[in-house]
Formats: sequence, C-alpha cells, structure tokens
Amino acid sequence: MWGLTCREDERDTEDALGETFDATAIEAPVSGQFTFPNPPLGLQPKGFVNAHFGPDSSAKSLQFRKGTTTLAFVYEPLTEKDVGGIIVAVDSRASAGEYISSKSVMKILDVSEHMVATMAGGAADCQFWCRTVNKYCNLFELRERSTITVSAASKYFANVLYGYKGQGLSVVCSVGSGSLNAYGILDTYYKPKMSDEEAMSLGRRAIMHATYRDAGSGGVCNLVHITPTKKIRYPGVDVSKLWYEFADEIGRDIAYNPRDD
Amino acid sequence: MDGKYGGYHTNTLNPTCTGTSVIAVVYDEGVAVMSDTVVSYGKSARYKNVTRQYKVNDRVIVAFSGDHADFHTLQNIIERQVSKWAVVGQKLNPSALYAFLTSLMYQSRCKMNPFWNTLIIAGWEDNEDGGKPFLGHITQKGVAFEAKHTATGIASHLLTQVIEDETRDKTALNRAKAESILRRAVELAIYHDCLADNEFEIGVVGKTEKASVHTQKPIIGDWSIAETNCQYE
Amino acid sequence: MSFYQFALIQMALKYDAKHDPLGAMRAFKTAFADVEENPDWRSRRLIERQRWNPYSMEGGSTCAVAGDNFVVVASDTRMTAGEINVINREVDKIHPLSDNIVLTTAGFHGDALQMRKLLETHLHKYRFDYRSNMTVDLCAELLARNLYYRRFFPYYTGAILAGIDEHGKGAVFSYDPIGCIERLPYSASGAAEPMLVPFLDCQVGHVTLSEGTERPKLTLERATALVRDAFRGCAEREITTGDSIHLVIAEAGKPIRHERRKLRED
Repeated sequence: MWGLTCREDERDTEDALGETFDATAIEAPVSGQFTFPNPPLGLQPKGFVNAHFGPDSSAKSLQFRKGTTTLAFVYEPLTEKDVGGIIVAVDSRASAGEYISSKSVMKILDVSEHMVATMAGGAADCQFWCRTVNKYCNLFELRERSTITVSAASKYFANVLYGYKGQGLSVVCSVGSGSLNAYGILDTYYKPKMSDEEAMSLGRRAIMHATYRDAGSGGVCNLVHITPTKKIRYPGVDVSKLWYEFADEIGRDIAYNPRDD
Repeated sequence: MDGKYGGYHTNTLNPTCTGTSVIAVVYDEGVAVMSDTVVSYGKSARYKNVTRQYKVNDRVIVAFSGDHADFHTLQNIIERQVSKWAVVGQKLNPSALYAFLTSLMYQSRCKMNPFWNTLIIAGWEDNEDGGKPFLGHITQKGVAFEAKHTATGIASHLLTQVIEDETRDKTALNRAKAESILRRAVELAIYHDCLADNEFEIGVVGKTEKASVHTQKPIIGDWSIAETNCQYE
Repeated sequence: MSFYQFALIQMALKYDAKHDPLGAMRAFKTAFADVEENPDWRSRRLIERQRWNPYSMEGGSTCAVAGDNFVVVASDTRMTAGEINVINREVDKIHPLSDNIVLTTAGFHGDALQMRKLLETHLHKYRFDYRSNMTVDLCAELLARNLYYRRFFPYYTGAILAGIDEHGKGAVFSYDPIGCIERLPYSASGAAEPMLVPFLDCQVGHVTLSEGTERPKLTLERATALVRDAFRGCAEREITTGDSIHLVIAEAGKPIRHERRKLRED
C-alpha cells in the first residue's frame, strides 16, 4: 500500500557502491564470464559512443585513433636464392579526427609464431582483439600440441567479433581507406613469381603511393616478410624517403615541373 | 508504467525545488561557508528559512546547491555513514566524507541517475601537526577538487574572481575577515542572481570552533543606483 | 505490437512490394532502424534521461618526455567548467602512483579520479600478492585493458602513463580514450595537444629540423626547460590551459620530485 513501505533504493545500499567497484577493480575479469559494461538505461552502445566521441561531438582531441592503409600479398620465389612467402606492408599513421595523433604506430600485430594481423579501423579495437586471438592461439598450441592454422584463427576471430555485431566495433584486416590506391599499384606491378627484393619493394611502393594519395595514411612503412619457416620484421622506412627512391628509379624530377605549352 | 526501463524513475533531471549558490572560504584556522536560506520553485521563492547546510558532526559541514529533495536523500546516506563510523568508535572526518561522496556522485552519474547537487564539504582535518582546514567541492558528475575558496551555481561565474582577489596573496585571513568577504559576496549575489536571497547563514568550522551554522542579519544592499537607470520609472 | 509488425505495417503503407521491391526494402530498413532507436518502452521521461550528458570537460593539457634515465611529466593546473569559466587554479592532474609510475590525465576529471583509484587499487593488490612493485610496462598494459573494458561507456580522458622501466630508462605510454596503447619518446594530451606535440616533434624528436642543424642531446635540464617553454606557449594560445605548470620529475634510483612554476592566469 502506498506510504506504508519504503522501497529500498539502489542508492541507499552502499553495498551497490562496493559491488561495482570490486567487480572491475580488484579481480582481473575471468574470460568467458566478462561482459563489457554497456551504457545505462538501455542506450545503444554505438549511438552513445558516437554521440560523445564521434566527429560531431565536442571531443576534439579525444576521438578514437583510427588506422588506415595495410596490404598483404603472396608470391612465389623467382630463383633458387629467394624464399617466397607473404609480404605484409603497412603505413604508421593513426588519426584522431583530423589530428594525426601518432605517426609511428605499429600496425602489424603478432598473432602467433607464424601469423600476423594488420590493423585498420579502430586502433584500440584491433589491439585488444588481436591480443585475444593471440591468447587463443597460444592456448590452442599448448592444448593440441600443434600450431593453429591461419583459417582456424581467423574463424575464431570472426566468431568473436560477430558477438559484438552492431555495437560499433571497427576491425578490418588487410584493407583500409588507402587500400584502393594500394590495389592500383599492386595490380599493376604484381607478378606471381618475384624475387624477395622485388616483392618487398612492391609492398613498399604500394604503401608509399597510398600514403601520398590518402590523407589518412602516412608516416613510415613497416614491413613483415613471412617465409615458410619464419617471420622477418623489417625496420620502418619513411615514406617521404621512399618517394625520392621511386622517383629516381623512373628518372623523374621530384619537383613539380610544368611542361611548356 | 511498464516495460523494460520505464517502471519507475529515481533521478532528478528536472530539479523542482532548488537552492542557488553556496560560497566558501578557508581562513587561517578554519572554513566559513555561506548559503542563503531560500528554496526556489522555478523562479518563485517557495520556501523561506530553509537551511542548506548540514552539520554532519562538530568537525564537518556539508552545504549544497541544486535540488533540495536529492539533498535530503544525501543527508540520509551521510547519516548512515556517520553511524557506521560510530560503530567502530570513529568520528567521520572531512576528507573521508569527501572521498565517499565523490564515489557516490560518480557512481550515480555512471548509472545516468545523478544527484542534482553540487556539494561543498567544509571541515577541520585533525592530524599530528595540529590539523588543517579542509574545503572540498563535488559536482553532480563526480568531478571533485579541493580548494582555498570555492563557489557553486551562478556564483562560480559571478563571484569566484571577486573572492579570489580578496583572498589571494595576502597574509592569512582571520574569521572576521572571511565572514566579511562572504557578506560582500551575498550583497553582489542579490544584485545579480534572481534566485538569491538576502537572508542567509554562515557556517563555521575551525580549530577552536566546533561546526556551527549561524543565521545572519539580512543584507539590504545599496539600490540607489536604480535611480540613475534610464529604464527605471 | 512487436517491432517487426510495426515496421512491416509502415512498409506496407508506403510501398507496394510487388512493383517496387527495392523501395520497399529501403522503407523497411528505415522503419526498422527507427523502431530500434525508439522502441515502444521508451517513455518520454526515459528519452529525456538518455539525452543527459554524463560527461563534462574540465580542460587543461598534459605532456610527458622520456630520456635515458629520467622522465619529465608536466601539466597545467587550471580547471574549467564548460571550457570557459575557470573554477580552480590549483588542481593536480598528475598522479604519482608509485616510486616509478606517474599517471597524468586530461579531459573529464571525474573519470580521471576513477581511473587513478582503479590503478592504485591494482598496484596495491599487486604489492600484496607479489611483494614487489609493478613495473611501468605492466601497469601500462593494465591501464590499456581497463580503458578497453569500458569500450561501450568509455572514460572521457586522454591518459599518459610515464615512468622508469626495469632497465632504468624513461618510458612514456600514450593512450586514446579506449586504450589504444603506444610507447613513445614523448607525448601530450588534452586541449593543447595539437600545439604541444609539434613543438616537441621539433625540439625533442628533431623531425622538422633541416640538415646540419645542431641536435642537442636530451638532458634532464633540457627536457624540463623545453616542457616549461611548451606550456608557456600553450598558455598564450589555448583558453583552458594556464595558471601554473606542475612538473613531476622521476629519475632512475631517485625519489619523485615536484616542481611548480607560474603561467599566465588570463
């Protein structure tokens, strides 16, 4: 009856205060049981995050970092000396809105001994979920005593991400906003059989052209060569330096040179 | 109402009965807090002679601006906290209450169910070197900071700089000087803030004074300037 | 009536699916999205509550520079309400968490306080469990994960974690609001980030210097002087940065030092 009972409000119990804090602060979350806290009142995460952190929000320097151009291709060895394998090449720019919040991001993330993932889209999303897949691969190898196949790992990745469908996660592997430019170069110069040098320079060339034409990409070009036996990381090369190299190659002057009419 | 989230509401996004500014200043051996004694319903001065300062114990005063009903809830919660401490024979000190209320305000904002209050915690912090004055400010979203002087509501726009000019770079204030600054602040507040009132009280807590709230003589102010206002008839 | 029924009716009213299947599909999608956004249990009061902004912005900027055996962390001490009104001139935005870890934040101060409390609790528990202090690398990963755990209700902060790593070198970790982590030689965050970083790029990273220019080695004295200069510049040109600069200097094998300098107060 009205007035006779006093409803115990959530505010009244200080235990509620302790509970929420304990749950996230004291113990590390147990995988499988952990769920990401959603915004209250049944708000849609995607809309909520977009309203407060999106391009139209007042968060100017607090937008999420986003990555862009990454590429990978397979090739066969041309001569006996070459090993062949896969070339993975990426740029290193992370932009937060229009601001370049980092120019030295490592966008090739290790997934296992012989696997890498490249990140494009939400940088934090990629970093976090690649770690999750990495953990799964390690556990798989310990449990099964054999290395996990790439397709199995990517299937797991896809399944995990599907669970968060429609909530605004942004993870794209091996593409990005500069990918169209990179595709152009790749399709022009790609041959199924290449020497290792050729393949690496093709990877770098594609990234370099993508960074020049896509404002969202830039920085240095990181490169990984996965051979049938191992994974070799190459140090980053500044794309501005690459431009001079490639310009030299085709004998073109680097400066803008208008021809006579 | 029924449905997933529409069952009941507990929040105050439409504050009904509100209190306006609170101003507080630290002086050499204590803290003085000023608040007027009117609770407004919209623009009308609905309730007079209502205190907006809550004496927690003889070491702490909590003053609020914002929704009056929410503050009643907060008073209940604080009271319970006091008795919890009393069970172990302890007296709640200002910094502990400040930390507790900060967490509480932050937690309720995380549920998007905020207390529509800005709180000012004034107290005397006992320690080995004889203690020090404590003045904390907490907003409804859980932003908290300690300060030498602070103001809430419209006074934070209107009077913070005035008070700062009066207090900074001078040798320590004493209680009388602090109270006179607050009286000057009230005068400015009634000139500019339509919800402010000239009946007010000053709470004091210090090294020698136990926490107490004193009703002050109303300030009339000087309205002679109104004569020279060309729009005035 | 369920969402589906409602959406179907909407669709049926507008389009004849037989003759204009594409238009019908489009109408269905729009109607469905609309229903999803505004389900029938959303009362007027709930909509109002959902529009409430749980974030506020307290302004200010922070930066950190790492050297061979030291790290310099700096922030201004201004707190603003609504980016305009200066409500406090002496707020600490740098939080030393242990002898070799310093957290510094800009953005929503309530979240910053919560983050500090969270990390302090974790560090405390780590000390309790392992009887040693957490290294800055571990703490950095911990912070990244904790930021990401709030992926759908993020902390509104630009955090920087700095400290001395186990080799005695200075380390600076920079984050975005949801925990994209990167170790950098120097970093800045907050309102004046786009002003601080180019200055540091030039003076610390030497990326914009022309060839043959002298590139002095980064000593502790140079780092502190540069950071002070950077903040003086920001106080001139950024509204929410000013009042005073709070420097925290951590050197390998030495206790953390604090230093305060005046800045413009206007």
